[in-house]
Amino acid sequence: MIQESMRLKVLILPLSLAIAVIVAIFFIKPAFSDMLSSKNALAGKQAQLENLKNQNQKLQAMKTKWEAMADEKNLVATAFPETENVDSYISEITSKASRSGVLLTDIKLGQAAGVGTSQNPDYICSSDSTGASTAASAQPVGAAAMPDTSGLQTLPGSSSACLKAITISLTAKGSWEQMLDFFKYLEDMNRISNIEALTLSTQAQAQAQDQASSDILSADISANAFFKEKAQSGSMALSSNLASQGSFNQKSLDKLKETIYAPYDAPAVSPSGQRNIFK
Amino acid sequence: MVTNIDLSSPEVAEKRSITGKSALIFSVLLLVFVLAAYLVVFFLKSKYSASDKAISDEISQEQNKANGATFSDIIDFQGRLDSAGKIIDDHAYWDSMAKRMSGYVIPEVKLTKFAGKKDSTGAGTIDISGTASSLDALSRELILLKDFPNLDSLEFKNAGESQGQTGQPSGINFDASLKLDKSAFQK
Repeated sequence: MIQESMRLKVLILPLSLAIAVIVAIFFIKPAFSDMLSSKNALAGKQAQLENLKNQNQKLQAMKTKWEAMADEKNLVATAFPETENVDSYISEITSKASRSGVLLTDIKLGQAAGVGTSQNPDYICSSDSTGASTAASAQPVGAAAMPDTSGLQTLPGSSSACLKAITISLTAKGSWEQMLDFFKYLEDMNRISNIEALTLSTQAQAQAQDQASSDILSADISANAFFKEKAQSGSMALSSNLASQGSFNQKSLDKLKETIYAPYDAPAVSPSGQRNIFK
Repeated sequence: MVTNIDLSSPEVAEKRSITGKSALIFSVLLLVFVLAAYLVVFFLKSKYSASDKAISDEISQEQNKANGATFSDIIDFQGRLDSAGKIIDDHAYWDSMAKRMSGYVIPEVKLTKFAGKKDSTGAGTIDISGTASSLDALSRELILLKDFPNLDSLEFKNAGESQGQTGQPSGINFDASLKLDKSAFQK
């Protein structure tokens, strides 16, 4: 009996200890390491999921708010339509011209102003217009309501972040006050556009004829109007950026309202010496 | 005198060695413990892996929601607002510019041309052509134009005597160019 006990003690106990150590080293340790890394990865993903849920909740709240913003949506959609919408743009210009008393004699699309060149601001899609800028027509105002959109700067390969622009060249005739009036109207249009270049000149031939005609000025105006195609899908970067901001760009919205809803300020000859510089 | 000293200590006599049965039980318990430890670790690893897969699916769903069409409207709206801010910052107010210019043209000078162009930085150039009644008036005009607000540089290009047309007085024709910074085109 004593001998059997000795055998058990001598064989089984060291053997079991050896097996325990082997199992611990070759099975438990790797499994434990894997388990720890899985746990850490899980914690990271839980944090990521939490962030995503928070982000989507914020975006959902903003979407609810956006759905209630009828006026602002309309304002932005008019200022930056999803298509070039040339006909309504020209319609608005002709309306402003008639309100200011200016006579539009020529409207051309896609000329000059350097759209599609390196001289453009960075928010305009830069790309070679590949000859897309051709004059639509040299036609009187009445015929300009249905312009040829071949003058559009199509700007292939542009990203959705930048804006596409159409350039419109106008030729107008009117008095000094009417011209100032017209410029003022063009600056405050519902469709946001920037006057890039203008030339005001007296009509030399008319000057020679009679004094009344010499009051008439001729203006060549080049303006850019913008449009932006609607993005069909979102972007993770833009979503997280928007969620981190937590609200819409109120500053830009206020600027837009201020520009479009600017009260009309009739041009006047001020007592400080402002006058018609052509007389 | 002989002293009998017992060298065997009582502790040695009381020492109890582990029995074979208890060694067997200890070995079995050790193996069971090791096995249990392995199973626990394996179970936890499997549990974490399963949770990881579920969370990955959930993350994927949330990401699809953010990337998809759900929020594309508001992202588009924000993009348009950002663009509006930039464009309005570049807005040139030509009526204000022309009115401001009129305060810097003396009555003896009459312009025949006023041409302005903006560049990509928002700054711009104004080219003017006109007729001054005399050289003295022209020099006074140029001195006045030097004080034009936000003027970067004034370039006087040329001047020459003009023969007046029928009914018009003769004078000095001139051309000049004003380079203005961005704020000159603001309201």
